[in-house]
Amino acid sequence: MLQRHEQRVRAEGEPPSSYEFRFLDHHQIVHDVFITVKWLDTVQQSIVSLFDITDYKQHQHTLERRLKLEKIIAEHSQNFIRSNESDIDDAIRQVLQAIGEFSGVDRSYVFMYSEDEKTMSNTHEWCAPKVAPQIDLLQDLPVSRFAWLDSQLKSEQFINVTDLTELPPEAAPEKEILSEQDICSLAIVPLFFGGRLRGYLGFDSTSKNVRWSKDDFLLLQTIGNAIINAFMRSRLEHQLMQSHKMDAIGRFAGGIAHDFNNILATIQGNSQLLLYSKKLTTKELELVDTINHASESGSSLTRQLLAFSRDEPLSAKTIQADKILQQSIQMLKRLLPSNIDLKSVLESTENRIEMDPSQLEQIMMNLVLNSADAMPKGGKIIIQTENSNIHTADKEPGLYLIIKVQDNGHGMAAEIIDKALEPFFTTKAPHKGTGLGLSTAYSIIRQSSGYMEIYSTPKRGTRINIYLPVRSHVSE
Amino acid sequence: MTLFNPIDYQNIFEHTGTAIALIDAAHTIVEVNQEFVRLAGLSKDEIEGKLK
Repeated sequence: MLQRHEQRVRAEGEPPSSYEFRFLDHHQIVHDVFITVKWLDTVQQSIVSLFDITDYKQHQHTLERRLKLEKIIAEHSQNFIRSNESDIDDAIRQVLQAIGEFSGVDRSYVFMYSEDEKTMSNTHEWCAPKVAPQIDLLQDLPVSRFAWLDSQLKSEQFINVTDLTELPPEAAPEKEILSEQDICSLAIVPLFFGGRLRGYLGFDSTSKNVRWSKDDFLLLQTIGNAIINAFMRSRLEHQLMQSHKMDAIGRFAGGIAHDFNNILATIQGNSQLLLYSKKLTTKELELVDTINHASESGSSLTRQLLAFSRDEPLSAKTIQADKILQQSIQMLKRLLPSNIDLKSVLESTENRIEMDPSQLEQIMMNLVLNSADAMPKGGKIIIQTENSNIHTADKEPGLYLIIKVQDNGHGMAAEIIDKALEPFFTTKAPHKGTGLGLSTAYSIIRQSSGYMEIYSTPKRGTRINIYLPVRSHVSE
Repeated sequence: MTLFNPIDYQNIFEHTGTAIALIDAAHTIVEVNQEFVRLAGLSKDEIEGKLK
């Protein structure tokens, strides 16, 4: 500024006659100023006019920021509409990165609630350079631990915190987990789908200077809606595809099993007739006996296959599930190796379901033995029951009995989970498993108007949730 | 013919909404008006003849 003044005094060059600059006033407040200067030769003085444009600059800045954020959101919304199931996760990570870089936060992320709304997991994250990823530490967190966050989001409130001391006392658990990561400012928008809170979109910063305006939140909500819609759509498409696949496999397996059973019946019948023949030598009788045994185990296999493809339950009646479960657990405890700890927490109060008792036993046996096989060096299996009112769009609404079988075994990768229900799919060594355990359980549950969910993380373990509709009347 | 006498000019300078300063060749602020005083957050005495 002084240099320009000198130039004007000495009439050198052409210094600009107007420009903008910033200065700190006496009270340390920043002012944006527009200045016009004219050197008056006659009086040897500059006449300087100053306009305070601080407010105008502030508006301009806000507007520019909003336009940038709008542009990011418009561009990425397109990605969500175009994306198919396989690249939806990439699309979510890209928008997290774009908004994260734009806003200068340290971490942006999406959390999703589990189907039973009991736990939440970090599903997608973006971290600024030099910021350590947190996603692996933030899996299966109990929703009940973050009651304040949950209730804020469920009442469709944004969370906008620029200083952790702003959090109310009831948010102590949230405060603890945030301060562990040195987080100062936090912005969270709820993700709703089908009228239910399914997760949230959040932005963390270790700096107090990151601020989000009300307009920003409306834009974040817009992209949040795009994220949850795309995510849920891809999840439902995946489930639909899986169930079509299982239907097709069921029909296929059923058709083969039926024909094959007829063939086996011929082998079995004729070999039995041969066993009564008096003309055979002892050696020959032994051979026929082997044929007879082999065909018997063949038909037991086809029976399981037929059970898988059947559409109607055989002898379903209303049973008290907790009693059958207690008996099964007693039996399984005797069966399991000593390095496996089987615990049960049966907390359901409504236990009437429609099922053949032996089928429920079979389901429990298949699941528990799978869990045991996943823990060759020992481990823990927990069987839990509870009741829950389910009202999702894709399920028959009503009261359900939920049976959970959880282990801390080797878990399954996503591509294994996708195939886990297919008959004859197994990861066990040859002759160790038929690949029918889970598929049989799945088919029994489906025939009982229930459904099954598999949650698994490699090296951490597997949880299988079985949902069975509670019957209000005893049919016997 | 002028519209205003020198006192009127002085009034206009003093009360216009624009902050105005007159600065001489040696960078000394010779004279400022009320709006300049408000913008700078200092009194006239603290500015005139002193600040550069």
